[in-house]
Amino acid sequence: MTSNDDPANDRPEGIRVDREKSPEELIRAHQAGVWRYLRMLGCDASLADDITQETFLKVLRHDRFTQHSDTATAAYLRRTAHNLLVSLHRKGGRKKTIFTSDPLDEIWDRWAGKDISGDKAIDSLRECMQALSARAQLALKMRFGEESSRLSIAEALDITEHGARNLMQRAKQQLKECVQEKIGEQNAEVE
Amino acid sequence: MNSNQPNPNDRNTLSETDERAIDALIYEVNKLAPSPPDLSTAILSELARTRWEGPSAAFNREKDSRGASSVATKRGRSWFAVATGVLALAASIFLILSRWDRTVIDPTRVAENNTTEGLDEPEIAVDKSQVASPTVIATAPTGVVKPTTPREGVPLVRNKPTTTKQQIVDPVLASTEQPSSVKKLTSNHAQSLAEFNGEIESYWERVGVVTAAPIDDAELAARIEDRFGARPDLSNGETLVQATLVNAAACEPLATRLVNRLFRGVPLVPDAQERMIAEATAVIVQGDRFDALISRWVADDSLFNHDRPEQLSQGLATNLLDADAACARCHDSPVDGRFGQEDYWSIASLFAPANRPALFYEMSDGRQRVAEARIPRRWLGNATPSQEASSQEAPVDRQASQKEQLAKQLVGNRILAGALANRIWEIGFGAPLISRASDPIAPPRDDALQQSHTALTDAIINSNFDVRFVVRLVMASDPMRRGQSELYASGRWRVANEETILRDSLAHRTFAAAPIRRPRMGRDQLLAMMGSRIGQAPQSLGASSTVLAQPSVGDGDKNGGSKFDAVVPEKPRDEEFLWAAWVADRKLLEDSWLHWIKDPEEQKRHAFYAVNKTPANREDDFASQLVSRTDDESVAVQNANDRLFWILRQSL
Repeated sequence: MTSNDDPANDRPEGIRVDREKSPEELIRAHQAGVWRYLRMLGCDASLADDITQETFLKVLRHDRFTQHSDTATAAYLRRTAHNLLVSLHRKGGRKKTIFTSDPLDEIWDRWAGKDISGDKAIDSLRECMQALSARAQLALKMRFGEESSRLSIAEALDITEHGARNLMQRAKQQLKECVQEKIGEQNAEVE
Repeated sequence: MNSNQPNPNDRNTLSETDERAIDALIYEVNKLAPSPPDLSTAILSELARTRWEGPSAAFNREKDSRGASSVATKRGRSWFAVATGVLALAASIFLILSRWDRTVIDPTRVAENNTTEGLDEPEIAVDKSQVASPTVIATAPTGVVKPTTPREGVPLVRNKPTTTKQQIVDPVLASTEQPSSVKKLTSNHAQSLAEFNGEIESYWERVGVVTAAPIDDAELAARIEDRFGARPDLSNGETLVQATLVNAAACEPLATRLVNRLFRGVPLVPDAQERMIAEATAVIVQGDRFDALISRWVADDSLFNHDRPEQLSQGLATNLLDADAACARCHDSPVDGRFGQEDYWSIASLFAPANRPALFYEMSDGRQRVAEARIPRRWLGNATPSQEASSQEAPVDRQASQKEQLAKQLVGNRILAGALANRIWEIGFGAPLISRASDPIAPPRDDALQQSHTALTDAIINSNFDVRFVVRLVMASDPMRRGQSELYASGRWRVANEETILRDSLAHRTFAAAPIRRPRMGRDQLLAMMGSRIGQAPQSLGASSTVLAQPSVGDGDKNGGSKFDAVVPEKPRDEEFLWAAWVADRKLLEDSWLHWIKDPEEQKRHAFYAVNKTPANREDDFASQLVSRTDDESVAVQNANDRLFWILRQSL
């Protein structure tokens, strides 16, 4: 490789990286994971967009940022995103934040495992949803695909509103177990 | 524990964190939420720009950025905190020294605390985290949205009178006792009237209205009787206005109309309304404080039906505080930052039945939260700080203590005075002086109009909330004494251009002695008329029906009418007026917040909700037809939506 082929030559000043990805490669590799992580913390799409950008800008401007591995970089980016979100909420003067005080990476480990982008979690969830009962699938589709109210869902399934809520809760519980099983298998394969 | 509340000890129950995570993933799988976007270009260009601007720009931006927590920034914050502390200390010492010679607390200071600085310019920053979906407010610029554009041209506000307003000296506010009747300290009718009329004239000048000539006393007496329910008793030789509302019988119709407006949509127990009318009548006759009466009502649980606390609190907030409560029920108001969802449910929780353990509400992203019973201070205009209820208090005690505080804070409250001014103006003219921002056909914000409202609010406060004093002021005001506009009286509007109609209609129908009751038409007539405007033949009108189904202005094509051309001989005057009003409304709607919502279905849902209407199939179908048929052209969509909102409003 000549010096002109070295992607590190394109990096902005002030960024010191060792045998690592160029900024563009870094962003492309990790942006989906950071964005999904923020969504999991409760951000809406536009806020997730904003904080994802802030996260990369903050990290890439940092003089001492070093890439050791993709996993470590992903964890560092998530921590930065988390801190930015906390800071945003503090500035907003909210007493209650929209996320709880779970350990930083626990939520990601539970739902995406070692996948830095979260794509596998989405694929796993898609597969797991096929295994749900038809009624549960319909309820989730109405709720999350059409934003129907619980009352509408209850009417469509001929059950009470409370029953609709329970049905969706049970379905989510099943999905959680199914996705985590698949993620566990994938992690085991990687190891 | 409430049966709706998940048990955290149940292993099969999802934690809140897990539920949020899986909700986000399911949204993405169902394609309702967008997939992760490609932000690389934006980030790289921002990085490149930083490098170009140099390190100082980057440092400054870093300081301004949301999550800045670098060592340099923290150090800067520390110095800033120290400097602020020193300045605050110096200011406190200065204030103490400057007031050393005052031996008593100046009650005007207490009153000043009740004024809401900056209320005229409500914060309208959008909290992006609370916006339900980026598709909902697609055109709102990042961070800040502007509901209307002030009009250009004539100076905004007439110079205020040089006389200094008398300060409010209110012993009630300085004491902790509930007031019943206090001596009025300032009730200068002539001064208040001159100030108010000056502002209204400024408004007319602003919108370019040439007012009609004043009416005579006989016509004015009839108008007062029509609007306030009492005919002036001129037998004692008093002036016409002073001869009204002289006894309980004359005040009762006013009390009835006022109570109806103040508690519109509020669920009351069966005999509450009669009790309230009787009490209101007594207070008006005696010239007692009406705010103290409202405060007692709010604290009185026996008046209200508490089964639906959100409906109760929404009604109270809307009527007594002019709050944009309708939006805040489901999400933070996108047009007025004061009205957030959390506050909405906090006030609802105050009015929840005492035996109900917790009130849950659903946030825009589907998560549920328990409402905490507390006073929404921003809704009260940062009134006298409440005593924070102790966290050690039992929830029921806390709720009672907060409700008591809320009731106390209503006494002498400027927001309440402003709402009362609007309700009284509604009795006189059919519409409030200043409408809520979420009203689909609220007139555009206008500084001169705002000043008129402020003048009337000042009159209420200066008279110690004496309703009779303020109603008499409205009776004597210039708008009440003006006759019909020439444009309408002679029917010349039919050949006038749209701009003239707009200008005159706007001023006339609300502030220049317009008919108090908007003309109403049957639903079929309404739909048929609107259908004719978009080139559809009326579906349900016979030949003997109304002219409203026809294009009625000159040669229709030039003036907005269609070519549909059935002949109907009689034109009721009210209906002529209605058409002119429609022209005005169409213009007014151009900056309506509803136009920010681009998804037609979402827009339709909000439009119906904003006018408190459950769509009947007929309107719903027609609305869909209007929206869908012009889906491709933005201008046409806007016009169709104007019609839609107008239909909704008029068919109430």
